Amino acid sequence: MCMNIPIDAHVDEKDALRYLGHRGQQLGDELEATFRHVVAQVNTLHAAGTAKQYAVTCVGSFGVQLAGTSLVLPGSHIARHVNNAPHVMLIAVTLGYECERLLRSAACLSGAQGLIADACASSMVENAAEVLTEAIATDAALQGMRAGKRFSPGYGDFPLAVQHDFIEALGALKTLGIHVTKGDLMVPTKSITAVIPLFGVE
Amino acid sequence: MLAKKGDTMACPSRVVRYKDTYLQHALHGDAFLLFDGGMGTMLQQAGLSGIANPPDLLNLTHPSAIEEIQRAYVEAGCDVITTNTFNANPIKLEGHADVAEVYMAAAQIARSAGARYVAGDIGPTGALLQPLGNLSFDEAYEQFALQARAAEQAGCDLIVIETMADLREAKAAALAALENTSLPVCVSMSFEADGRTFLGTTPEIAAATLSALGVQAVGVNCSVGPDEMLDTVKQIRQRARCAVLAQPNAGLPRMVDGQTVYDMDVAEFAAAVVRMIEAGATLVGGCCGTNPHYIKALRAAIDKLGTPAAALPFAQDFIVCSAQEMVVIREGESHIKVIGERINPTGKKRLKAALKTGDIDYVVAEAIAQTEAGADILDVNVGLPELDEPALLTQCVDTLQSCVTTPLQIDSADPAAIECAVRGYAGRPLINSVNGKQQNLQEILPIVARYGCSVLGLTLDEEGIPPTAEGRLAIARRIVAAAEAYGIPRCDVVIDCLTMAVATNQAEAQEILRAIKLVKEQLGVRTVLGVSNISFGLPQRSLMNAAFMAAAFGAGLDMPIMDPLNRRAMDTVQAFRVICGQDISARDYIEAYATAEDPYVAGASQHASSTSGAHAGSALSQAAISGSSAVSSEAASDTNACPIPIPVGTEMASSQIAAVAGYVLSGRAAPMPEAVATLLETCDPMTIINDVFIPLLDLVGQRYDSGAFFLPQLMSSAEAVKAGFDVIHERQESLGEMGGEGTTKLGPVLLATVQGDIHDIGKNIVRMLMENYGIDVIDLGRDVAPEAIVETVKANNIRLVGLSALMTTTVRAMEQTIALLKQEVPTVSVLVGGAVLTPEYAQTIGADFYAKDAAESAQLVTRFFRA
Repeated sequence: MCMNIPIDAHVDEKDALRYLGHRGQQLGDELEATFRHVVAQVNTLHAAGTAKQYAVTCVGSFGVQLAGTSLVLPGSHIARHVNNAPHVMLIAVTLGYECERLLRSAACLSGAQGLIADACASSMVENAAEVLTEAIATDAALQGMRAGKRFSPGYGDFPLAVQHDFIEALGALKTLGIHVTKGDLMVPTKSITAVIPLFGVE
Repeated sequence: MLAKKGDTMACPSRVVRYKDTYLQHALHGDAFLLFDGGMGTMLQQAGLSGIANPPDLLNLTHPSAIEEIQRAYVEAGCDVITTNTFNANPIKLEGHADVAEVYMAAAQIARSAGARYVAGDIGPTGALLQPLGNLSFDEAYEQFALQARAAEQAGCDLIVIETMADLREAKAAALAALENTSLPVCVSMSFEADGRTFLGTTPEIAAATLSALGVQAVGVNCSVGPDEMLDTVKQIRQRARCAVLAQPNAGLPRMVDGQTVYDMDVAEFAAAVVRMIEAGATLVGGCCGTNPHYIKALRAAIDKLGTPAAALPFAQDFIVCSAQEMVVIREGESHIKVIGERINPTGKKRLKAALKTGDIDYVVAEAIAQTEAGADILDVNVGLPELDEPALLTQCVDTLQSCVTTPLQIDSADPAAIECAVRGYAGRPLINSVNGKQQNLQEILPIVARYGCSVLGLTLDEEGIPPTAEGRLAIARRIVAAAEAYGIPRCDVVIDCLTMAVATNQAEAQEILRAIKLVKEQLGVRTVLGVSNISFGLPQRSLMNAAFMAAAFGAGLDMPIMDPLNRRAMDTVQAFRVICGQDISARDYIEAYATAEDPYVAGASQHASSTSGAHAGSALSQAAISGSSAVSSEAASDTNACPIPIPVGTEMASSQIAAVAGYVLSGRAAPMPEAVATLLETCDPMTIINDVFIPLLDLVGQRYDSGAFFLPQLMSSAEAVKAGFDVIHERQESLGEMGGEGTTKLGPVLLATVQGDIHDIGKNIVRMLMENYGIDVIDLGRDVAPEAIVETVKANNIRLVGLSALMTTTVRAMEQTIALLKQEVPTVSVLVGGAVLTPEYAQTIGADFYAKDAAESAQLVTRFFRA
């Protein structure tokens, strides 16, 4: 697996509209044009990701312990999600700092445009995570394994506080430039980290 | 013309202390200097990785192990040992050790290992600089200064700042080392596979910006593999005004069994580095994955080469750059670059108002619109007598550089404001301006030199503006000479021959054109000109401006300072770019004009003129700076069916009111200023606010509540109302009625997203709706410390604070903020909102009010202040 994987991701317009609370309302010419313009702008961004596979050494109510790293994935929900998978893949994807600039400039132009850009970028980074997850599933199948669904810090009792160690274990500061703030949030803001369990096939 | 090697500017008074003449020669590019290789790989091999975090603490706990590694490098033949201090800054040491203590130990170890030269290593802080992160430029500078002083006190012979991804951070580190030590300074950045750093900086930009600060070497380390790095070295060489450093990894990093592996063959590595030497690098070494074997092979290769073959010329190109974009006019090249002039409050009421109220978004919108319309550089002038110009200019420049990549021209008459703004600017700005007055030269040129900027020189002096071309040339000559005396090469000076109105000084028009020609021919510098003064006092000003600009281009003008949203001006630029050979095969021209109508042909629409969108700026950005020429005069389609009752006494204006309602409900901000201006001819301002805007906002709120509108529609409608409000406020301000009865604003209310939370979209929506309801909002932004909120509340006698938090993790910070507020200002009330909050939880954390969304917030605050 490469350390910095370019990902062919794009905005899923339906998802973006859903994030905006759209329930079939008529957009009107003006808003439709803004939406189209922003979708096109966000689609020019480049998504990238990184992934690292770890053997699971212990799963319990405390969480999941991994081989060769001091990183522990804490919480009963992640433990349940990983279940009896012998391996997990840790992933991080990001739209990078260009996205930060785009979000800031869109918000300066108008609140509505800022809101739409944020939703479009969210949709694109989700798509990037999905594309990487699928690639990992394909790889896993070739190795006789089955990839489970991705599970991110912040889901259930899997705390955001893990983010700092997660990024460090992945080396994602060096490979993707992802920083973690004191409040455990990632910058670039349109970044996703997740755990994908890799199950042995019976 | 090529400059002499080592001909760098900046800190002209700084005396560099070299340990010996070999080091001096090497840092002038006259001899090779071999650095050591990776430390992390060696620590891993020695079984020391993971023992100490950060590994810099090993200098204190395992000095002999570090010494052993460094001795192996010395024995391999390297000249320079880099101290094991990459992370030795206060942020990463986290109080486990003192910065000075770590450097002292590390330098001692390197000397004990037998190092010929010891380089004090400085890596990134590990924190993101503002505005992306929390660390201010000054805080970063202080941390680096602490490290640089510690390195010098520990006896290091030079300082190496390395693996930087943020040009602004690299600049803070370079300035800290230059201003706090007398050691030679090398700065190197890390570039990704796309040829840029994570924050978008190219090798050319890094080299141009950092070498102009006066460092002794710039370069690249880490990054991708050595083969991929060759092009990076070439780009750096092209723009570096000093020696070039290259420290590649031992191949392209790969992941094998969860471990990062670098596995380039030693001989291949040495061959790749020799290619970098041939491309101009003279300071070389290794980074991740390299070990003493690699360095030994490199020693042998360098010894075979003997001395560096090439001198260190740098092209006398004119360069201005942001961290992401570079504007270059090569020596002898006839290229037109447009300097956008719109961010200047002179004669612009809306911009003045925005600056006064701290509405920097408006400034950004101006920047975006000009960039989309074709501006290559943006002038930034925020000089208003009643405002703190150094603070405001810095704020605008900092915000602009996080939103647009177009390089900036810092325009001020106040040297303090210029210095504040350019110091933290990531890139090489153009300073506007210096002139021929002695005092002015003495005040401005040291700033230009110190921060490695380019400078615009005005041909005026104590006697005023000379009427003749020769007089202007003489002043230009003095400015260029004075700049050179400060170490500023003439390629960094551009001259403005100053336009006078042709209506009052008709003879001078020809003199200005002749002056441009003389200045270019005799001084070899590029020229700029603010063209629009020429037409002062005449009708059809843009026609006159365009004709004069074309003539000036013919005389050799490189950079017009103009309004890029003026289509006729941009048409002239685009046409001339074909004539001067810049627009190769007229490709851009044909694309823009092939299907455009000629505005002078009968029947063509007045403004169709040729733009076809290519250089006009998008309607979206232009709408954001409503009041510009982009404003449409189109009427709403549903003028007959007004959705709100026509106010009594305004029946005559019913169709205009219906039009305004149509715009608001369809969320169209662009036509609002004109529509409201028309309405003001027959309606009282307070009637418009209370009987048109407020009912419309209520209607929009109802549609949102019922699900007929979704959030972007609510926002668009609110923005349309805001555009209308702005017209009314502007009108009243010009009539001196602000603060009069009926227009008194409610509030102020303070808004902030709590500490640790960087999500501010929700808070921004709340602010917009509150402003629409006439509430005065003080917005402290996102990630705001409780102390800052308390301080603002006390300073402004604020009665109501609105706090927002999106994350469960940051609700705790909200609770702490409320507790501190209640303790320090018991009378203040707190309103909270955010995705994770509920009315019950709001009560638990001590809030007085909870609002489920922006509309409810605005209504609640209105009731609060009217109670």
